[in-house]
Amino acid sequence: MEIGPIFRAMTRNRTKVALLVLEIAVTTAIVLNCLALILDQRARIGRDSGLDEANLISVTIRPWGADYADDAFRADLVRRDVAALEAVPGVAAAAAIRPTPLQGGGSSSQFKPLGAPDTAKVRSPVYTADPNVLATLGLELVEGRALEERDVPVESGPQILNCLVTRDFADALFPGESPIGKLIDSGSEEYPDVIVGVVARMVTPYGGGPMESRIVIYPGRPSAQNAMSYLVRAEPGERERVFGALDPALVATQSERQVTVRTLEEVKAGGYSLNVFLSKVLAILMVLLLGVTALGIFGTTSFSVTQRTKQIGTRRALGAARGEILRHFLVENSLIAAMGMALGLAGAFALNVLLVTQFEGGKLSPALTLAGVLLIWAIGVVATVAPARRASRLSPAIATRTI
Amino acid sequence: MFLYYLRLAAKSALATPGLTALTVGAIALGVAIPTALLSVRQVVAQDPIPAKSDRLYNVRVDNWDPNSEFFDIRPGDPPKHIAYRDMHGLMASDLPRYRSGVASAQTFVFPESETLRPYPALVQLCHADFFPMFDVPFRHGNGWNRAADEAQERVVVLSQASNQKLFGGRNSVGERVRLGSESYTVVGVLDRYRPTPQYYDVINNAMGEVREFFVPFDLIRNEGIGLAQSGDTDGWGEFPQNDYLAILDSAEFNWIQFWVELDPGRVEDYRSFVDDYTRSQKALGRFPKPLNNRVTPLMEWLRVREVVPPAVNGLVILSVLFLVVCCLNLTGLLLGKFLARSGVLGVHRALGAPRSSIFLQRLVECELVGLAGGLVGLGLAALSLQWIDKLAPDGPVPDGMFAASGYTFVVALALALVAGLVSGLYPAWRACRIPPAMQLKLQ
Repeated sequence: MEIGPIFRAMTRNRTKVALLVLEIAVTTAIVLNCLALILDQRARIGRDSGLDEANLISVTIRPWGADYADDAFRADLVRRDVAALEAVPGVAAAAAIRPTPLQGGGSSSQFKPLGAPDTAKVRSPVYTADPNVLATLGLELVEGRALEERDVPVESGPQILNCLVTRDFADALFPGESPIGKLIDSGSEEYPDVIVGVVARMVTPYGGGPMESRIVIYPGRPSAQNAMSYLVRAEPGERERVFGALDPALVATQSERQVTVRTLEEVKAGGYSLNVFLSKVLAILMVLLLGVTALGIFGTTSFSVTQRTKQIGTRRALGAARGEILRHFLVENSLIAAMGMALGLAGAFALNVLLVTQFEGGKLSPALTLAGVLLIWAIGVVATVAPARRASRLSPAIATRTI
Repeated sequence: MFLYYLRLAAKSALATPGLTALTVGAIALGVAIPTALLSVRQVVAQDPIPAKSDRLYNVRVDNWDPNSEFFDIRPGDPPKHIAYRDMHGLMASDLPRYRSGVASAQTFVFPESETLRPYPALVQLCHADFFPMFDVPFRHGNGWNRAADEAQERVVVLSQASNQKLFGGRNSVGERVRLGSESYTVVGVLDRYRPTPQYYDVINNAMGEVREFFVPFDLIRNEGIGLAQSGDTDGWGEFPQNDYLAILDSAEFNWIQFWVELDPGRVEDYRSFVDDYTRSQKALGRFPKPLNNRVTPLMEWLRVREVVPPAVNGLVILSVLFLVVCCLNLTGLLLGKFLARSGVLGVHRALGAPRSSIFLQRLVECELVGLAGGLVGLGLAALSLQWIDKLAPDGPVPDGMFAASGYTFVVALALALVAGLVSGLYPAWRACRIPPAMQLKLQ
């Protein structure tokens, strides 16, 4: 290889090389960070919720009727609603649940093993749902039993409740032992809760946060005077048909209310809208930047081909093959890119330290760094090929003409 | 002289239209993205009430569990809102000129009209002082007075939008509106009002429209009238089951943002009052943690609550680096262009033009290109803002939030001129160092 002469040729043109090295360095720093941040945002959107997202439909209800002030009326209505929802053709299962999973808001309580000191408390989001919850959400039971009708409290007020927890919750409170039958204290030693089953995974309604999948599910038919919510799971392929039939079915059961029907994917899109937005803006920034840098490399190379027309002609006249001229420019650009990326890597890691706190994630990984470096190098080569080919096609005779 | 330079610059720019278009494009693109993102940031970060933001304070008291930290606040901070009973305790002080709790409730509106079905709406729970404290503009009527707060009068202030919806925009003061089970008398109708950010409720509605209805806070004490607490809450400890008033009056259940307007001389006195109040509560067995109260000035409160999402700052940093890349590109282009014209410049020098005038002429040319790039960039930034407005999550950021403004204009031009200058300095310097003799020989 003729790296020696190529390198010496570059030192004759220090300014241009320095500019390009700097440009590639800053580009590398930005692109690597954009890649890491985009992947992090996408990972949050795509994280496994443990739910059958594609077939689930959320139903939220705002009642206005005066009857809704009566607890017994509501308890009865929730049963009739669930029955009406399950009677809709194409519905596999329906459950009353509060809050709606993935909606981006909910409530949490603090839990500790009964009798443990207060310092053992762990905060965990809480759902209340009827016994259909496992079948409807498509949750996987890994230990113990599912909720049953007898677990649903008949009267309101303080009482001992049987509940389901996630694997993460069980591991947080009872590491290394089976949580089944264990008593947990959620603020009242007199009325602890009993763990009867463990599900593999279920996520917080907030989307993200430190309590990711540390969840407690209480038995009940949740309803309030001003809000009720259900989830419906459609048979595969039936979601569209089921979707339109839910509002009429509920209004036929009781009409003094406003019904909102959304697919769970819509609910999720709402809860993750900031992540989607950020990943799009970052992607556009990155693509534009790569375009600008590619143009810069293309422009600089074209310019230097024009400038060196005579020298290229001379080399060709002295016997250099076309391939050698092509290689000269490709090697020159790869050298510049390598210097730029070496400088850029240091910048990328420095920038990453800053951005990781601002975006709450998106740390650079070695694999990602390698991928980003290859991407930038490939774009550099593509941008160099056209002017380099033009150089290689210059006639040797040109050396004699231009003086 | 300057005009002559300008004419030279224009001539030089037009001599190579392709290259000039490329340089203008590079500046435009490089300027557009940081301008758009800085404009977004400015909307979110601006002072929402410059006339008195230095006199408005958010008040927090730390009634939290000594054994747990909550995740939604900075380590060591008290909870982000206060409990209903503490709001009442803090209302007792006469030190503030004005004071008000701020929270939201869910209700149903039953319009008189035959054509409108009942619909759900959010109500702002607040005190009489809310309106004068926050300089809320009225179109018709006024707020209510402190006596109405005490008496839990059924009075309501309508937002401009809900007055439009219910009364077709006419003066509805004195008319009645049914919310839940109660009939309210309209005492005031707001003029156009859209504080951005909505500083008094950044926890639940930082960028949204104002609530449709405003009613006296203590109406929430009446169970079953169709007002249900809505929005973010934090609580700990024992909760009285099925006792509505007990939850309000005794539980460590935080859901209210509390605001006071303090004259400059009274801030320290007020801090002492808040500490004294919490000491009196300690005597009752509450407030188990060491004293940890905050009387936070408005702008500081917006920072505490991260009203500007840190990710937006991250995007701004990335976009400024993007501009740096465009500038480096531009430097390369300009350098190539100036050196290609060495012959002409050499003649200028030989005919007696001093280096300084060559240098200045080149800089004027760069700034001319910068200005053109800035104008194109301004257009691109306006388009980007439109696109960001559509794409931004509708929940926290309703459409219409982001658009080009005077700020966008100034930022675009400033960035473009700085970019033109920075990119042009080195090429201009190189251009003025061209030795005249050498160029003449080559001719």
